[in-house]
Amino acid sequence: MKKILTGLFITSALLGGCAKKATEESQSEKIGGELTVVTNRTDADKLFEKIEKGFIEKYPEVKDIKWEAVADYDSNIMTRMTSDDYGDVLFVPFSMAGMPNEYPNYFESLGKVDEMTSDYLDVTEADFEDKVYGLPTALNSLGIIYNQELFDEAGIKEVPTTVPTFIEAAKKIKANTGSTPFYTNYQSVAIWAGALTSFGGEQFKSATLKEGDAFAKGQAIRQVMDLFYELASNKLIEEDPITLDSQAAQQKLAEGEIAMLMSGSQDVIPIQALAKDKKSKAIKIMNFPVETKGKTSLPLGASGVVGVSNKSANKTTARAFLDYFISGESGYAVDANGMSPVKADLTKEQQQTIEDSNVILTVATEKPEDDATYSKIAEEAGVARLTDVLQQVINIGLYPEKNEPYTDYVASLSKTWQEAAKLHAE
Amino acid sequence: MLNNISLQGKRERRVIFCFLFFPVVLLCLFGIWPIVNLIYLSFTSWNGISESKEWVGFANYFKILQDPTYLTIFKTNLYYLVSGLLQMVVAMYFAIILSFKTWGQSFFRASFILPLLISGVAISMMFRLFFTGEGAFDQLLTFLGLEKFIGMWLGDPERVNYTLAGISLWRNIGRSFLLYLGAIQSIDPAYYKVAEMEGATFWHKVRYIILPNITTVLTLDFILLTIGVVSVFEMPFILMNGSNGTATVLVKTMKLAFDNKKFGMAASLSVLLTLVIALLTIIQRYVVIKRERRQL
Repeated sequence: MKKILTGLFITSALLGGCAKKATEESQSEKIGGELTVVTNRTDADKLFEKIEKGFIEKYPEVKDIKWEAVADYDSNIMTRMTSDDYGDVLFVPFSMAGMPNEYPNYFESLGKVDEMTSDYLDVTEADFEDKVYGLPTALNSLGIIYNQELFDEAGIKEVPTTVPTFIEAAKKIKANTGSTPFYTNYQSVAIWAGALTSFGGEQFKSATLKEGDAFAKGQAIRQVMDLFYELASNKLIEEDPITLDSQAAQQKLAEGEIAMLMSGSQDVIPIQALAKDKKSKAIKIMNFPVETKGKTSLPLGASGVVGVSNKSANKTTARAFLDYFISGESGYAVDANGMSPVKADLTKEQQQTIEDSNVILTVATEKPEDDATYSKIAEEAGVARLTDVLQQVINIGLYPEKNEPYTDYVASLSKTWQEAAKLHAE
Repeated sequence: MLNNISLQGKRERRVIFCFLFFPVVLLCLFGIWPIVNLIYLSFTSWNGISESKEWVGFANYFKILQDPTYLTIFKTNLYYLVSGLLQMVVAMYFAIILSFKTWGQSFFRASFILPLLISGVAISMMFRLFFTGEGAFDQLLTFLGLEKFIGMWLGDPERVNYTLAGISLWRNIGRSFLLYLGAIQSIDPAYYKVAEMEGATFWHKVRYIILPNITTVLTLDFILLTIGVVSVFEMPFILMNGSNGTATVLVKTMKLAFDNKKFGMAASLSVLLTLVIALLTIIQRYVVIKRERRQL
């Protein structure tokens, strides 16, 4: 009996021991050894192979890089992060943006915000108390991708820069061309969260907190909701939003059946390639139809943010890899049809665009406590993600007789927000 | 001799211990511990990642029970109860027909069971295509001369729950069918022979031989149905993201936990859901036992 018991304990101890070994290795200061990189790209094995080769060429001491691609990244990595083993370099899950105070518990600080701003663009994607915990892998702008041919056919001379002219343009497209003016992307309408800074400014969250109601007229969320309501209730969107997926919609945009859709600049080239002549110059991107200081703004954001795990056994190498990964050298940004966040690596053309436009970041630059309060209220009110709200607005617009009126819906949202705000008032 | 027996018993116990050790450890680790943890979570306020979990007592439960929105969600589940009852009737009908010699018997049997084998995600994708405007379903309606019914099957808030309940019927009918078919085939053919000699019609056979012999399976299926109705999830979540008034209780739980980061609330909602299922099952068992006693 005893023998068996001891046997059992030894086996379990051995099993447990294996898992622990990795973390007990001593911290080395030299760049070398092995790295595990956890990414959200399941489609980029070849690209990663190339990056690995380039990195090892630069630092021959590095033996191997293990790539782990995780599907449905945000929810899976969050579960995995409750353990100690989540790679040396990994993408920072976007859902952590609502709780910035958690960054130091999981990620290594990469530097101070004001020091890094001089060398990098958009360093505040993942920051807390003046420290940076993640840097963008590639920068893209958000906007409305449109088909110039349909605009010409509808007689629209200038790209709309305000909401009223935008609606007017959509009406013209419907009347003059018969195409669908705007695709809502119902299934992943949450991407509009990136448009909020364009509508409400980089500090829209603290502005909303001051106002006390995110659904009051003129607030960023409300402006986007109103835009959707106008479009939907005037039947300026696709006939059946639920069944039309974004792949099919992009194809239709290239073929001129849909005039506009919201997306990132990384999609322009792929959509151009979908057109009949394979490289349609008619597919272009415009800024959101809202003006600040008499000009529309160019909303820049990261398609991915990458950081170093604070449980990594090889932090120096991990940091070196991160720097290599986001630089122009690795080719990751180019592959993502974006630009590198490293200022020194920008092309002349890119520098020019940035200087000429009203650059605005898609991630609000707020004080962490404002950020946290805002997220808490949004979570309490059940509107932490825009999906549910915007989907409901689309439904109300399309089927007004089968839903509560839009004004009632907004009023009920206002009420829940104000109640939640009272709960979290400090 | 006596000594020998006790030694044997000891040895037997040792063997039993060895065989049971790992299953019990696994059960505790992956079965019991998560449940205990979930119940603990339901008394806290937790955002899913923060290291501190604030103890709030029964606050989550009170909030759910007082908020009318949670009650209205239960109404959505009723659509699936209706479709589930319909599913039982239809499955019974076909199980009886196909248990006798029929033309194309194995083909029809297979076609009922096939939907069970397809994954929920694949089914959602299939039906999204099927119900697109001017898609396969609308073409079918046109072919049948029913153009006037064409509409947005998933977009129209008045139709969407019927559509989803219909999909659920199509998907789960195989389970009921399989249960009934198995039960009917296990009936001794001698009964039919005797009944035929007495001049029984087809209807008589169904009423007096088949139905009384499959009541156990019927009750079982009904219990499975209630559990299924309370925990409808896949279709409304994948197809609709719970929008357009299709959110069921489980969809709401998911959204609470992963969209709104209220893991504590979500945990208490799932504990309540489990209690509802347990309660329904107990009531059903009670009714069945009472009826059986009366029959004796």
